[in-house]
Amino acid sequence: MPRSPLFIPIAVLLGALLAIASEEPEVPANPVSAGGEPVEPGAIDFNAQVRPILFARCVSCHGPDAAAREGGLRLDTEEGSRAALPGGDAHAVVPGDLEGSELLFRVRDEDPAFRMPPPEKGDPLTSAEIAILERWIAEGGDYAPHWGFEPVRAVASPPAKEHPIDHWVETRAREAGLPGIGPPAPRPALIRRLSLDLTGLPPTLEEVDAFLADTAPGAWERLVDRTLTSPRFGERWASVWLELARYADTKGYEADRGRTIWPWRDLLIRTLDADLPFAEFTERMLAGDLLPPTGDPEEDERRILASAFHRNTMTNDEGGTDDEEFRTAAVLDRVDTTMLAWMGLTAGCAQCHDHKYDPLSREEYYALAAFFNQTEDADRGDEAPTIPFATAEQRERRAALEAERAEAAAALVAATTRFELPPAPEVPTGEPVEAPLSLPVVQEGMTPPFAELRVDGRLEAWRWRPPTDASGGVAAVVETRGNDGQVTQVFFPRSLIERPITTEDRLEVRFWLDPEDPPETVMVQIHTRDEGWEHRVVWGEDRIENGVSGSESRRLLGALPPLGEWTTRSFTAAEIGLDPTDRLQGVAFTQRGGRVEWASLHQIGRHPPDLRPVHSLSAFTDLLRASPGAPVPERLKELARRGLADLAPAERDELRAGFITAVHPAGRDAFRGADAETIRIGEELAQLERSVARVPVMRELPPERRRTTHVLTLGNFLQKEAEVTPAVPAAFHPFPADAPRDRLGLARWLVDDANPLTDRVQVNRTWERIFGRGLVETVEDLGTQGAVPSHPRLLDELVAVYRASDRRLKPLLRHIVTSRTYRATALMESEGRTIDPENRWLIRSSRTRLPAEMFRDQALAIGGILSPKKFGPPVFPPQPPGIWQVVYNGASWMESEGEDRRRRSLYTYWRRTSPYPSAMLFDAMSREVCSARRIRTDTPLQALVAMNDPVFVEAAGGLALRMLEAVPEDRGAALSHGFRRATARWPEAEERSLLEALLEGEREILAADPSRADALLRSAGVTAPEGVASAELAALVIAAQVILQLDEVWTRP
Amino acid sequence: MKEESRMPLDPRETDPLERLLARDPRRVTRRHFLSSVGAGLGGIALGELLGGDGLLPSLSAASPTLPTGTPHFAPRAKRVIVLHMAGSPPQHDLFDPKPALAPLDGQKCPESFLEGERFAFIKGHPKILASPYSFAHHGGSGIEVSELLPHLSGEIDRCCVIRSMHTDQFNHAPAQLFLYSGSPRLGRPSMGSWATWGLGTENEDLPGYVVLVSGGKTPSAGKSVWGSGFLPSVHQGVQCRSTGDPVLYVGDPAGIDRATRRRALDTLARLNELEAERTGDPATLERIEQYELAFRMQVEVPGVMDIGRETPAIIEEYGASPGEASFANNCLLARRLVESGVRFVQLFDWGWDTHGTNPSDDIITQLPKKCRETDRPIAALLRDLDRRGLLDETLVVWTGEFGRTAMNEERNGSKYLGRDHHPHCYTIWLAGGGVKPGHVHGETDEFGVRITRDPVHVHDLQATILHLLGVDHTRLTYPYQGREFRLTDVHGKVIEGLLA
Repeated sequence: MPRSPLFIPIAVLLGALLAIASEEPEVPANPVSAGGEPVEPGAIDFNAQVRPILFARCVSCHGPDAAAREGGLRLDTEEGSRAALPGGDAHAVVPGDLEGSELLFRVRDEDPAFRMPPPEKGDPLTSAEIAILERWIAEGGDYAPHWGFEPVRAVASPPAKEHPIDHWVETRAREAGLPGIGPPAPRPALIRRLSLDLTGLPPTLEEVDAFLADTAPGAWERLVDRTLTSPRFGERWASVWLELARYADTKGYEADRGRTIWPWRDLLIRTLDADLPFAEFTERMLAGDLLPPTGDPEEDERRILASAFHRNTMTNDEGGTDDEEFRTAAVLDRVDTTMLAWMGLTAGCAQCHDHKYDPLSREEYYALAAFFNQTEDADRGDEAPTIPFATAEQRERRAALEAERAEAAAALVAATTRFELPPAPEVPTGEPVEAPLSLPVVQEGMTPPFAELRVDGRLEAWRWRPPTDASGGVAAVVETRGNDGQVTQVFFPRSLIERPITTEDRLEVRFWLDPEDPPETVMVQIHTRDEGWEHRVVWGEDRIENGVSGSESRRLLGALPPLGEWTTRSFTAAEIGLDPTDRLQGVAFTQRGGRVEWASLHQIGRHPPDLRPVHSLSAFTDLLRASPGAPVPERLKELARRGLADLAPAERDELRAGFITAVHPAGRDAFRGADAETIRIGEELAQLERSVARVPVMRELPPERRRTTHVLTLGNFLQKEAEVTPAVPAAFHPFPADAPRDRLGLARWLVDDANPLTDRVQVNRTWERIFGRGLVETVEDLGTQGAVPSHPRLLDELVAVYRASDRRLKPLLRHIVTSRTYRATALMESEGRTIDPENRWLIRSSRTRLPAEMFRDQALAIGGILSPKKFGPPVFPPQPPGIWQVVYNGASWMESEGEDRRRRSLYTYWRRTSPYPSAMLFDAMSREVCSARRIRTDTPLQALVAMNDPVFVEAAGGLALRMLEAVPEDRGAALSHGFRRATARWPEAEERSLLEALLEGEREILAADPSRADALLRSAGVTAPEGVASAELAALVIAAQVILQLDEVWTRP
Repeated sequence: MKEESRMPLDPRETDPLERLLARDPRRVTRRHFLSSVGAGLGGIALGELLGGDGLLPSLSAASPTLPTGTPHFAPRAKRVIVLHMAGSPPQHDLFDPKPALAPLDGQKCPESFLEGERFAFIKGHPKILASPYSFAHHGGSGIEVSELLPHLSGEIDRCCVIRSMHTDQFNHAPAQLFLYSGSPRLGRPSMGSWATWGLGTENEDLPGYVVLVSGGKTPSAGKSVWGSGFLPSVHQGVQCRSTGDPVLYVGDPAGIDRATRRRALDTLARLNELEAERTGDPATLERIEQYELAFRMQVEVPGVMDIGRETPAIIEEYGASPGEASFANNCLLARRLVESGVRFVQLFDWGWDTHGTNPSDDIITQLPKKCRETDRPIAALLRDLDRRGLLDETLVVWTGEFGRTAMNEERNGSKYLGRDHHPHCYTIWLAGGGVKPGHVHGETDEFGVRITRDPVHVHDLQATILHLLGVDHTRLTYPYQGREFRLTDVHGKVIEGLLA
C-alpha cells in the first residue's frame, strides 16, 4: 500500500516535540495561574506549581485523612505545614528559611531511610521539584486555596465587539507563543459541525443548501438559532445525561431483569428540549417528589417522574441477598452520583476513609447520605414505590372510554326519564334495618362457586384435605407451600358471585402455620372489580413486594400469629380500601416460604338495608341519607345527602335513574341489562389501567418510619458507627438557612450561587462535549486532584453567561458556537500543530472521533433510513445472536420490526450486564454507576463495526438507493450526491474518480456473479428498482460503504 | 509466537518524548501513541491497538510508579489461563477431604458453625453433609483428589493446590467481581485488563485478552468480569465465541468476499490519504491502519478459533467436538490462543452452583456431570501445554468464586443434596508458570469450615498472579477520579509459599 506523503510532516512534528521534550522540566514550563494571570518569572504560583507536588507526593500520608496521617504532619493546609512537629521544635515549613524547613531537609536527604517520600511510597523528588519547593519556601511558603473551591469571580469584560471567548482564547494562545485563532472552516464543514454538536445528527442536504444560499450578514446566527430549536436537540443532550444518570432498562446485578423507567428518559428529553433552568432541573431530578403541589395534576406527575433520576440505581434480586445491603449500596450510589454529576467531586473515597485529597470526611460523607436515606424504596423486586405512567395512546384510549362511559350513562339517564314510576304502594315506614351478617367467602370444604383456582398461575383443582391439627375444630383445609425466598399464591380470580361490601365490614381469616416450616410472611389479598388485586393485608415480615407498604395495597398488621395453633385474624374493609361500590370478586392466600393451612374467610358485618320496600324516589333518598352502608354507588349517596330539593334537574334525573335501574322493582325489570355497556366499558378501563407501566420513583418515608443514618465501616451496612444527620461538608458554603433538611434543600444548596463547583462543572462538561476536551480536562474531577484549567478566566466568564441566562443550556451553547473559536478550521497546517499537538490552546477546532451514539445515528441518517420517531419504550435494533446469555433470566433480544430497527441510539434497550455491543466498542459506559467522561479509544474492532455491523450495511443500502434515486442517469453525479450527504461537501475531482473507478470495477465483477449481487442486496436490506440491474445497485452499496467509512465521516469536521 | 524483545527498563531512562506524551495517562489516545512511535507508521501493530504495549503511559514526576510497558522484574509466567467454574464447586467433594464429617452425616451441625454466620439460603439449624465421594492419594506428591476427577488425578503432580482460599463475598456476582477486579462493586478493571494494559500482548493480529464461555450462560456478574473499567476500553476482554462470528462483526456480510473487501479498502485508504493530506491529521492515517488490521484479523481470528485444524488425536484427547459450544472446545481454544501469544485467557463454565434444590443443581447428579464435562479437557490442557513447552510459561488457574458449606442446604425441605455458599474457605489450584508443582498450600479444620493454616485471600491471589507475570501489584496503578487505583486496592501480599 502506498504510504501517505504525510510521513515527512510527522517526522517534523516529532522533531519539534523532541526538541520541546528535551527542554521540558518536570513541571509546566508555562504555569497557569489559578487567576489566569501569566506567572511572573521568579514568582511561584502555589496552585500551578507547588500544589501538584505536595498533593501528588506528600498529602496521601500527610493530609486530611486523620486515620492515615503519618508523623502528625499535615501538608494540605498552611496551618499544618507551620505546626511544630511532634517531639521537637522542628517545623515542616518555616517561611523564608530554607535551612530551618524540615520539609526541604527531608526531601533532599541522601539516606533513603530518612528521605521523603519513603522508598516504598515512590521515587525521590526530582531536582526540579525540589527547586520549586525551595523557591516557594524562600518566597514565603504561602498556600492558596484550590482554584475550584474559590468563589466564581466576576470577569472583566473584554473590549467591545470582541466575543469574550475569542478574547480569552487569544490571550492564552499568545501567552503560549501561538498565533491567534485560525481562519474559519469552510461553510459545509461548519454546518455539519454545528448540526452534529447541537443535535447529534448531520444536516440534511436541504439544510446545507439553505445555509449556503444565505449569504447575508448574520447567516451563521440564523443557522445557530434554527439548529437550537431542532426537535433533535433534547435527544442529543439526553444521551449525555443518560450516562451521568446511569440510566438502563434493567436492574443490574445477577439476573439483570428488566425495569420500566423509559418514561423518565422521555421526560429528560422533553426537559432538555424545553431548556428548563438548571436550578429547576436539579430540584426535579433530585427531589421532584418533594416539590409542593402545583394544582396541575399532570405537572405534579411530571415532577414526581423526574425524581426517578435516582431510581436508576441498581436493584439486586439475586436469591439469598439481603435487601438492606443493596438498599444501602443504592443510597451511597446516590451520594456519589450527585456529587460527581453536579459538583465534579469524587465523594466515593470517603465511604471508607476521610477523602485523602478533598475536604470531605467520612462523617461528612454519611451526613450527605442521610439526605438520601429517607426514601421508601428498599431494593425490592417490584421496585416499589412506583407510579403509573400512561403513554399518550393509553391516555387517549382512557379519555375515549371515559367519554363513552359518560355517554352510555347519560343515555341510560335519558331513557329512565321516560319511565313512569307507578304509584307507590302503601308500605310501612321506619328505620332501615341492617341485620348482622356472617357470610362465608371461602367456606371450609366448599369449592367457591364459579371459582377458578390458580396456584402460582397454574390452574388446579380446589383440593380440600384434613387439617394437620384438628384441635381448632377445623374439618378441612387448603394447604399451601411457599418456595423459599419466593412468593407463592393460591387464588381464585374470577368468582362470579360479586359480593357487596361496606366500609364497616370486617373480613375474618382462619389459618394455621406449620411450626416445623414456618413462612416468613402470610398475606390475604382481595380482588375487586375496579381496583383488581390492590387490597392486601400482611402478617410477619414485610417481604412480599407487591403494592405499597403501609397503604391499602399492602397493610402491615404485625407479627405472624403463634405457630402450630388455629388462629383467626380479622381486618376491616376500610383498611384495605374497599368501598361500598366495590364488588368483592376474588381472594388469594399468599406466603413467602413455609407451609400454611387455610380454613376459611368470612365477611362479618351487617346486612345492608333491605331496599325492596322502597318504592318512591323520596323514600329512596331518605334511606340513603340514613344508611351510609347501602349498596349503591357513592355518587348517588352524595346526591341524596344534598336533598332532592337542592338538586339541579340533571342531577335529579341522575339520582332517579339510579333508583329506577338499581332499586325500583318495576324499574329494575324494565332496565335489566341496560347497564351492560357501562359495565363493559368499566371493565375495559380497568384492564387498561392494569396494563399501564409502573415507573419507580422517589418517595419520602412518613415521619414515623424515618431511618437513622450511621457512619458505616468501609460502607458495610452491618457495621454501624456514630449516628449522623443530614448536613453538607463544612468546607463549602453553608446550607441555605430557609431550606428544608431534605433532598429538596440539598438540591437548592447544589445550585446556590455560592456553590463554587456546580456551574463550573456544568459549563466545563458542555465545553467538553463540543470541543472534545474540557477547559478543565478532568471533567470528572474538579477537586484538588483534578487538572488545572487551561483557561480559568474563560471558565468563569462562561459561568457568568450561564448564570445570566438562568442557567439554561441553549443560551450557553449559543454563546459558545457564535465565537470565532468555535468556527475555526480544524485543519492542522498552522504552526500551532507543532507547538500544541493536543490543541490545548484552541486556535483550531478539534477533529475528534464521533461518540458511539452519533456515529451510528449519523450512518442511519446519511442512509436516509433513520426513524424520526421520538419517545416510547426501548427498541431492539439488530445485534449479533447469542449476546444475551444471563443467568436465571431467559430474556432474549427480540429484534424490533419496522422503523424501530432504525431509531436513534438512545432508544436502544440498555442492558447493564450486556449492553449493546457496538456502542461498547465505541467507548460507551455500561451504566452501572455514574460516568462523567468517556476515554476515547480507536481500535480495529471499531473498523469491524463500520464494515460488518448490519446497521451500517443497511445504512449503506439506504445510501445506495438514495444515490440512485437522486441522480438516476449519471453514476458520477450520484456518487457526488452520496458523498455530499455524508460530508456536506462536494467531493474533489480525485475523490470522485476514485469512487467511480471502484463502482465501475465492482459492477463489472458483480454482473458476472448475479447471485453474489443479490446476496449483498439482501444484506443491505434493499432491492433494485425496476429497470436497474442487481449488480448496478450492489456496486453502489459497495461504494456507499466506502463513503460511510471515510475518516471524515468518523470525525467531527 | 513472537519473542519478547524488550528488557525491563528503569522508568527514568525512558525517552523524554514518551515522558512528555505520557504525562497524563488519562489523556492517552491513539494519537499520542502514533506520535511516540519514532519509527513512523510502520511501527504500529495490531497488538498494540488491541491492548498492546503502545498505550502504556510511563511516568511523570507526580506518578513515579506507573507501568513501563515491560515487567517490573523477570516474569515466571508470560500468559494466564483462568478456568472458572462459575457458581463455585464444593471443596468437600473435590479437593479437601474431611472424613470427620462422615460419622456426623445427617446430624445437626455443631453450634460453632453458625455463630455470627449469615447464609444465603440455609434456614434454621442445618445438618452435616459428608461427601458421598471417595478420595485417594495420587501421583508422586500423593495429593488427595476425589473420584469425580479421574483424569486430573493423573496430572495432580503438576498442580499447586490451595486449600486455604478465602473471600469477603458470599453472593455470586459480587464474589466474581471481587475475584477479577478486586472490588465487589462494578466499575473496576478486571485482572486481564490490568495485565494487558501493563504488559501488552505478543501477537499483533489477535486481542491480548480473550474470554470463552460455556455452559450456556455468562457468569453472574455478566461481562463486567472482563470489563476494562476506567482503563482504556481496548483492554477489555474480547469474548470469542465458538458459534457465530468468533469475534463480533468479524464476518463479512453476505455478498462481500475477500477480494471485494480488499478493493474497497484500497479505495478507502486512498481517499483517507487525501483526507490526511488535506487536514494534516495523523489520526487519519491511524484509521487506515485500523482498517488494515481489522482486515487481517478477519483472517487470523477465525483461523485461530478453528479447532478443526487440530489433529484427530488432539481433539480426541480433549474430548472436543468442533462446531459446538463446549468447555472442552474452549480448553483446546485456550491452548491455541496462548500458543498464538494471547496474554490472558479466561474460561467461564456455568453450572457449578450446587445447592441441591433439584437434580439439576445437586451434588449427586449435577456435580458428577460437570466433573465429567471438565475433567478430561482440563487434564488434556495441562498435558498438551507441557508437551509443547508452554506450561512453564503459562499459568493455569482453576477456581470458583467462593466455597460451599459443610452442611446440606435442604432448602424448603428438599431431598436433594447440596451445599450453600461459604466464603471462609475453599480450594483452588494453580499449575505451570512458576508455581510449586505437586504441592498443597494451606489447611482447613477437620470439617472444612475454617482455615487453620496459611490463609490466602483473594487479594493475595491477585498479587501473586501479577507477581508471576513480573508485575509488582503495588506499582501497577492508574490514576482515576483523584487517586491511584490498583487491582489489589490497598491490600494483598505475594504468597511466597506458592512460588516454585
